[in-house]
Parts: sequence; C-alpha cells; structure tokens
Amino acid sequence: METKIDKSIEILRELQTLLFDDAIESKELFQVTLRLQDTLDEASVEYNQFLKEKNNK
Amino acid sequence: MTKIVDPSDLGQGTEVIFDPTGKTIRLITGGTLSDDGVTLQCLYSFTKEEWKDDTDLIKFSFPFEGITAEQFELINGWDFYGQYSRQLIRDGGWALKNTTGGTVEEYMNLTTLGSFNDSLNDRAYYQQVLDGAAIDTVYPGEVNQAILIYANYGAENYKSYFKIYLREQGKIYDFYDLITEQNLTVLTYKKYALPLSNSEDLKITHEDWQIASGSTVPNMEPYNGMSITWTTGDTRDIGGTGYTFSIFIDGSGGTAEQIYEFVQWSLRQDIDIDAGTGSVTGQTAEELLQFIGDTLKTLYTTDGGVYIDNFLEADTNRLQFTDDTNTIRTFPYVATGNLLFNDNLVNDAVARYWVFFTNAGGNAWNTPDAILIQDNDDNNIMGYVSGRTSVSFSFDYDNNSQGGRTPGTEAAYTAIAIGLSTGQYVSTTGSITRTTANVINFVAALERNYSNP
Repeated sequence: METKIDKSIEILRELQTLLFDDAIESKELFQVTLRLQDTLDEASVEYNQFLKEKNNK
Repeated sequence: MTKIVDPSDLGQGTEVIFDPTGKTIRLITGGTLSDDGVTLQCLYSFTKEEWKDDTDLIKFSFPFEGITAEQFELINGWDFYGQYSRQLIRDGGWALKNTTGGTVEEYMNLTTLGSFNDSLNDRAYYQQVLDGAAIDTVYPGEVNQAILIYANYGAENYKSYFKIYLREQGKIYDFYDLITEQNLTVLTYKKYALPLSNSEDLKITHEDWQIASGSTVPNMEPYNGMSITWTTGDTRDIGGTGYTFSIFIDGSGGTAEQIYEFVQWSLRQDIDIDAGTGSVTGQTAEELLQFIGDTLKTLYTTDGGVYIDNFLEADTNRLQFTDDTNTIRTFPYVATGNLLFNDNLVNDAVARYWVFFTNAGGNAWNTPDAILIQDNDDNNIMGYVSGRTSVSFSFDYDNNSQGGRTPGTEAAYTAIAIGLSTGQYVSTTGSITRTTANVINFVAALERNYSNP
C-alpha cells in the first residue's frame, strides 16, 4: 500500500526532474512544491494517527 | 531582532505568560520577543517544556494539540490573550476549540515569498469577501501573520475567498488570488505561502501630487481628462474590423506612459473609480494595463477586455488591446522614417526627390511601370527638398498593396533626388522595414557641369 511518505518521495523526484527542465516556469514549480507540502502534511497526520493507535493497543 | 524559533529564547513571565485560571496565553514584546514574533511551533515547544518543568502548570490541562509543525489546535478552553498576542504568531495556523471540541475560531497563517522593494514601508493589503474592503497587513514588508478565517462558530466565515494586493506608488504591482492559484476549495487553519513581491516601475515618473494635487480626483494636465468606464460591452474599430471591449480608458490624448500612470494611480484609490454608472473600488479593481518594454498592453479581466480611447496617434504602433474574447488586437503597423538630404541638395533651390518601389508586383523601377510609394495618407512620397535637411515619411506597412505587392512585407525602394545648380543626380536603394526608424539617405555629388546661361 502506498503511504503518504511514498507519495511525498514520488513528488520530490518529480520536482527534482523538473528543476532541470529549461522550459519550466517558477510558477509551475511552485505548484509542485504545494502538492509536496500538502502530502507531507497528510503524512504527518497519518504518522500521528499511527502512533496514537499504537499507544492505545 | 529576529523571529524566535528556539524555545530557549522564551521565558515564562517575560515573553510568555500562562494564565491557567483565565486559560490564556499572553505574548509580550520586550526581552527577546519583538514584532518579528515567534513561530507557533516554537511556542508549542516552549509550552511543552514549561508544562514538563513547572509544578504549577502541570496541574492544568495542556493548551495545544499539534497537527503538523504549521498547524495546531488550542484546546481545553485555552486561547491567546487578545489580538496583540495573535499578531505575534508566525508560520502557523490554528483552530480555537471549545471544551467540547467545537470549533470557535480558525486562523490561517499567510506568508509571502519574494522581496518587497522597501520592506520598511511597502505594505500589502488583502480582501476576504467579494467586493469587500481592503485590509492592511499588520506590518509593512514581507508578510508572515495570522488572519482570521472563521469566527463565532461559523457565523463569520472567510474560508472561500482571499486575494492579496501589493500596490505602491512608483512600483510594479503584484497580486495573488490564493483560492484560484492554489486550486483550493476552502481555506483552513494552516500556513499558506504565496509569491508576492515588487520592484521599481520605470514607467512611473510622476508623483501622486502631479496627477491629483490635494484632491481625490485627477486635477492636473493631462490626467484630469482621463477616466475609466466599465460597460456591458461596446465595439471599437481596429484596422477596419470591429472588436468588442467592456472596459474603456479615456486617454485624453496623453502618452502611453501617462495613461498607464493614471490607471495605476486609480488602482490605489479607495473610492469608486468607474466613470460609468457602476461602482468599482480602485484598490481592489483588477489590473488593466501592463508595459512590456515600451509596448503598452491592455489586460483581459473577469469583466472583459480593455480598450484605450483618445490615445496619442504617435503611440499607435506600441499599443496592444486585449478584447472580450481575450485576443490581442493591434492597429495596422505604420512604419515611419526620415529622408535625409546632404548640403548639395539642401542648397539647391529646385532639388526634388522621389521614392519608388524597386519592384512592386512586377512594376519595376527603371521601366515605364515604376510606381511611387505612397505614404500612410495615400500621398506619393515625392516633393521638393526646399532647403530642408530632412523630411519625415510614413508607410502603411501592414496594408500597402500597391502594384499587387504583398502587404506586411519589407518594401524595397529606389529613391531618386536631383537638383540643378548644386546637386547632381543621385539614386539610393534599400528597404522600408517594420520600424519607426527608417532612414533614406540622399548624398548628391556637387554639380560642376550644369549650365543654363
């Protein structure tokens, strides 16, 4: 199952590739960083939930 | 001082006061805390340390629930002590929960990326509802502050609209529509980063008082004759075709730069700037014009395209109009230039000149079919030098089809001049190009042999 961390890494790789694309505009790159940020936020929440469930066992 | 990010820089009783009875957290400037503020993550971390070590505080419920490093909840009835404390929070949004977990308020954090030209004075402002008032940011300079987006259990809700503007005199304007640009449905209590910056605008060379002196309306020449009118649509003829526009700027015969100055000035006014029957507040109106190099382009807005009436004729070639279909329209290009005559022609009282097409659709010079080039007013480019060192000319570059030539292409010419007593016969060749700097140079040798006793 793909976790939010996996998804974040996937977006990070996409960003790294785009960084060396001469035709890319900063505005487009910024949109990718926003997606990365959102996914990292979700990963953080997901991890907190995981810890809570673990503690409650 | 700088923004505090290390909890070790905070002290209980100096920068932070916890009131477990009133359930408030109060931030106080002085000590290490300045108007640069403290990150919410840092405050959360400091609170944890205090709760761990303070034998009094540990008796009370903990104030925070951390969601992410930039998103927190104030729980168990805790809240910040007053607006001033909230204004010192950086890099994080929060929700205020009541003791049963209901959401009372939400604050987002807004952080701008990029530099302001003058961080001490340039101040952004934002709008939270359609047609709502412009609200100044708390501090000038790059923004990092909390903004209320949900209050009174939802009786006030500003989560679906947020636009921010940066408009300063003599600076290039900037704007950001957070919801649209970041594809958001609604805002939430987290940090939003967005690009917003400005720099000097070299096309603005007049101060506000040179446009409107002691008045809320322009009262200085030529700006006092200018206006902007929002309509439901009207047509304008450009190059023989009618196009529909919805916003009309009356340029009052001013230069492109002056019209731009007037419009930019108007877009900083907190009054109705619509000369028509509607009402449009300048501060929050959409931008209408943009200079690209020396070309002034009108912009497409949610109200439609923008046209400029009564512009200076000499500016025709450097104006671009975006119509209601979001298509750029330009007038046919009028190339201009100068014919230059040397002294031998200038001093010759009867010297004359002619400018022919070298070959217009097969009508070549040096044949009986040679065609004189017509200027933009359909007059042949020919005449007497009459002692002048230069004569200006125009050419309808995009439409001239004399002799069946292809319009919109360079016009190869053969230009002739001849005098009698001082100027010999001279011919010169070249091309009229899509520019306003064409030069046809006549250099006639000194006449030594002409005699008419």
